[in-house]
Amino acid sequence: MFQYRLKAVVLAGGRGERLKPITDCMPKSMVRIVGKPVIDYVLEGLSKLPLDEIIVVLSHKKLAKYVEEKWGRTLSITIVYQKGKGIDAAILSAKDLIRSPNFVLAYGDIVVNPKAYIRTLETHINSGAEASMLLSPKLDVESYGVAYISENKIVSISEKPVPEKAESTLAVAGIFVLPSTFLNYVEEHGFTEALNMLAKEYTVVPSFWEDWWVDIGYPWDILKANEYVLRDLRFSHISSKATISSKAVIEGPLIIDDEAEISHYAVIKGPAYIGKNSFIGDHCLIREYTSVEENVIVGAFSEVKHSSIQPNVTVSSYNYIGDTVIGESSVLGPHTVTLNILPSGVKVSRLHPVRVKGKLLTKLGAIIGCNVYIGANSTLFAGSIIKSHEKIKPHSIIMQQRSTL
Amino acid sequence: MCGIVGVTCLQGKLSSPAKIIRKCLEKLEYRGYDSVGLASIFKGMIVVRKGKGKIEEVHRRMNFDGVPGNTVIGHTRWATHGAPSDNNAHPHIDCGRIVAIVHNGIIKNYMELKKKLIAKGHIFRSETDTEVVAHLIEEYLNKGFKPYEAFKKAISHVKGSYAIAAIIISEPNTIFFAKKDSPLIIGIGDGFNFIASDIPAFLEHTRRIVVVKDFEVGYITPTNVFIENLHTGKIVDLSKRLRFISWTAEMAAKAGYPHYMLKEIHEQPRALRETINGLGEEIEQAANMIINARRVFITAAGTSFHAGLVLDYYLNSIAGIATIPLIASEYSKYVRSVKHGDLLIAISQSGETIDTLMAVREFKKRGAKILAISNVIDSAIPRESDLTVYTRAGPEIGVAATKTFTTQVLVELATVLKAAELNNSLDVSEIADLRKQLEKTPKIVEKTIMKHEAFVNSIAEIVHRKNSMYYLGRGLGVPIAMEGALKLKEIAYIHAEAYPAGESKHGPIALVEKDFPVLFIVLDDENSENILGNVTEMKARNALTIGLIPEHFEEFKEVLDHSIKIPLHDHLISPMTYTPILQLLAYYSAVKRGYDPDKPRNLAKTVTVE
Repeated sequence: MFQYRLKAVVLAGGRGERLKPITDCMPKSMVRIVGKPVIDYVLEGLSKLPLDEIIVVLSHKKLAKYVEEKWGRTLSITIVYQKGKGIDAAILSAKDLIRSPNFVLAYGDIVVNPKAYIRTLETHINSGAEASMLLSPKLDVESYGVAYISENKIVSISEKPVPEKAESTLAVAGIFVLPSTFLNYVEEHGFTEALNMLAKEYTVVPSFWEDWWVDIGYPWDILKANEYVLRDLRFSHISSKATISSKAVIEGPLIIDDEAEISHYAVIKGPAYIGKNSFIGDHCLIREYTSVEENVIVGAFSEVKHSSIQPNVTVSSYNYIGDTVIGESSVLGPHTVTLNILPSGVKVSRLHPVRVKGKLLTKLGAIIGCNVYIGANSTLFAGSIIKSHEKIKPHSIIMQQRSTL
Repeated sequence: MCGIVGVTCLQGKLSSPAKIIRKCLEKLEYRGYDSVGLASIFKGMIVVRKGKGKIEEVHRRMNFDGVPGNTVIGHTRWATHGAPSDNNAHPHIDCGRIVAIVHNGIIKNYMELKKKLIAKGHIFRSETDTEVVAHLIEEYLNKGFKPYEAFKKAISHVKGSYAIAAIIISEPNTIFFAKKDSPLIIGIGDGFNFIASDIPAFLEHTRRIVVVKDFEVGYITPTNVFIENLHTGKIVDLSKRLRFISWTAEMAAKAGYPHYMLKEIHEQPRALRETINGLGEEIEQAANMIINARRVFITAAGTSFHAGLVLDYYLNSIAGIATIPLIASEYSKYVRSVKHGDLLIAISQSGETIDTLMAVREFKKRGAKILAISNVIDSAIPRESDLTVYTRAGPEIGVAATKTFTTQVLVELATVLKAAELNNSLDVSEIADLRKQLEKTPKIVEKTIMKHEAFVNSIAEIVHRKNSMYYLGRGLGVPIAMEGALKLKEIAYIHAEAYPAGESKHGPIALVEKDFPVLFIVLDDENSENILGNVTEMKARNALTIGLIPEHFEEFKEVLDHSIKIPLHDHLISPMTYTPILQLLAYYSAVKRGYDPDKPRNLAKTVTVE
C-alpha cells in the first residue's frame, strides 16, 4: 500500500578549476585517493542508504563510463550530463528526474567515512524536519559555506564569508536531504539563497560530523585526504598477488595492492599505499602518508613522503618527492628534487602550518600536472606549479607559483 | 522532556502489549526517568498503573507486564510542573475514568483552563499541567461530542508545546494523538500500530513510520491511521509521508549529534534561556536566606563544586558576603563548628549525590538551614532542604556535566544579584546592567560556540597528543580553569591540573618544558596585567601557550601561540561563556584519542556511594 521512494543526486560535473593542473586530463571526481577515485567514496556512502535511484550529474564521458562499469551492477545509477556551468546548473540538470518528495544531495568531491551519509539521513528521518544537512567544523571558512545554528535549527547559510566576519565555523559538508520544492528555489534564486529560503520557510536541522572530512577543492586537499584515509588504517593489507623482495623492509599499517612489486632493499614506512601494478625500485624509501596509485614506477634510490602520485607516472631514480601531487602520466627524470617548505608569511587557503621541532612550517612541494616531462637534475621550489604537457629541460630550477598561493 | 508511547493491536497480534510498552519506555528513558506509568482499556474500563521512580523500580512494584488489554499508552517523565510523585506520574485520567492521557511538553495556559474546569466541578488529582486535557476531553464527551471530536475540541484549547496520546473507553481500539513542538512518530504494523516520541522505541516491531508534524491531530487503530491538520482539516496523504527505516536508528536520542555530550554542549543557549525563564520567587527567598545567615557554607562535588567556587566568588565580590566552600566528602572537618543560624548551600545536578547528601544531613542535624541548587525536581537533596532553586537544563545524559554547570552558574548569579540588591552592596544601576547582561548570556554563548567550534577542534588536534596540561587563571578564572581541567581528565584521560596563575611560580612551573601545553583563562577584569606576566613567564620556558581572551586584548595575541577570542561582556558572566569552549576542547580531544566521551571509564553520572 505504501512505498517510500528516495532518490539521490550526486554532483560530479564541472571542470575542477581550483584543482588545475591535476584535473587537466581527468575529471575531479576521478582523482585517486588511496587507490580509489573520489567518486567511489561518495557512492560507497550512498550505497549504505535505502535509495532506489542515484542520479549522477557529470560532464565527462570517462567518468560516466567508470561509474557505470564500477557501480552499474550494484546500484541503480542514472547518468545525466550537466547542462551549463556552476552548482545551480548541475542541480537543475537532474530536476526532471527527481520525482520523489525528498531527495539526498551529495557533492561528488567529498572524502568522508560512509557513516556521514547514514547520519545525515538518520537525522532527517528522526527529526521529522523538511530538510537536513551535514555540518563539519572547519577553520577555512572563506572556502566553504557556513551554517549558523540556533535552537538546533539551521537559521542561515553564508557562502565563503570573510574569516573575521564569519559568525560560524560549521561548514556545509556536502550531504543534504532536501524537499523537491528546493529545486524551484534554486531555479529562481541560486543555490545558497535557496538554502537560506529553505531555512526561513521550513525546518532545516543540522547533522553533526565530528571526525575528519575533506572536500577535494585544492591540490593539497588530495594530500590531506590521503593522510586521513591512511591514518584510519588499523592493519596492513598486502595482496597475495603482490611481489615483495625478501630484502625489502615493510612497516605497517599499509596497503600493497594486486601485482605491485617492491624491489630489493626498498623501505616502506606506513601508513602508505602502493597501488595496483606499481613498481618500487631498489633502495627506495616510501614514507608516511604516501599514496602511489596504479601503474606507477618509482625508480631506485628515490624518497617519497606525504605525496600523491596519480596513475601511470614514472618517477626515475634518485628523486626526492615531498608534499607533492603528481598528475597522471607524468615523467620525472633522475635526480628531480622537490623543495617543500614554503617561505614564512605565505598563506595558503586550507593549508595549515605544522610544528616541527618548535618551528611553525607550512609544507608544500610541487603541484605537477599531467603528461609533464621533467628533465634530469631539476629542482622544483616549494609551491611550484607545473602546467600539464609541459616539457622541462634538464638542470632547470622552477620557481613559478600560482597567484592563489 | 518526557517520553510517550502507545500501541493498539488486534487480539492476539502482539503477545502482551503492556510488556511491549514497558520495553518501549525503557528505550525512551533518556527523555526522563523520574516517574513512569501506563494505561490500557480492558473490558470497558481504564486500567492505570503508575508511580514515582525508574522504570525498573516501578515495574517491580506495579507489574506493568500484567496490565491487560490491546490498547496501551505509556509515559516516562521528567518533571516540570509538579514534583515527581505517584499522583503526578502519567497517564492522567478524568473524573469519570473514561479518558486516560499521556503528554510530553508544557501546557502554558493550564492554570487558566484548570480554574475553569474546577469551576465546572472537575476534581483534579495531580499538580501537573497535563491533567487539564483529560478533563477537557471529558467535558466535551459529556456534552455529547463523539470521542474524536471531543479530543479535537480539547486540543484546540491547549497552548504551549505538546505530543499527546489519549485513550477513551467508548472507542477501546483507538489511540488519539496531537502534536505541536514535541516529537511524535507513528509506527505502522500489520494488525497493529504504534505511536511514540521517537523511532527506536518501536523499531523492533515495525520499520514503517510516519512523522507527525506540528498542528496535526488524528488517531490510530490496529488497522488504520488517520491524520489531519487541526486548523484546516486537510487530511494527510499517508502514502506520501510513509518512510521505511532500513537500519537501526540509534541516533534518535542524539538529534543529529554523534554524542550526547556534543548535543548537550550545543544545547546550552537553550538550557540557559529556559533557566532564565524559570526563575521565580525562590530567588528572592534564597537571597534572603543568604543575607540573614550567620555564616554561609557551600558544598558540592566534582563539576558542581566548581559551580560552588563560582558562587563563592560571586558572594564575596558582588554581595560582600564571606563564604566557606567545602568539598562535600570532606564535610566532617567542619561539622563541629556548625551552629544554628548557619546556612549550607548544597549544589547537586542529580540531587542524589551521596557525599553532598551526607553533608546536608550532618549540617541540618546541627541546626544549619539548607539551600539546594539542583536540576532534578524533588530529588533527595531538595527534599531534605529548606529551599531549592532549580536549574532547567533538562535531562543530562553525558556523564561529563556540561549544560548543568552553566545553568547552575546562572541561577547563582541571579541569586547573588538579588542578595546584593537586598543588602545594598552594589549600585542599583550596576545590578540592572548585570541583569541585562544575564539576559543576553544565552545569545553570547550561542555565538561563541558557533564562531569557535572549528578553531577549538584544531587546538584539540594539538592537545590530544599531549599527556599533561595546565589550566591557569586568576580570580573568577580559577574555577573556570578547574572545570576545564576536570573535563579534559574525565573524558580525554589527559592529566590536567588547574592552578591560580600566581601559584604556578610556587611549584608547578618546575614541570614546564618545551611544548608543555598551558591554557590561560584571561578575563576582562583587574587581573589581566598580572596574568599577561604569567603568560610571558610560561612562554619564556618554551611552553605551548593557549589562551581564552577577551577579543580586544591585542597584547595577549602576541605572546600566545593560540588565542581564542571571546566576545566582550562583563567578566562576571565568563563562567557561562568560557566554559563551553573548554568543554568542546575536552570533547574533541577525547574523540581524537578514540574515546567515547559519553561513557568515560570508571565514572558514573550520579555518585551514590561514599
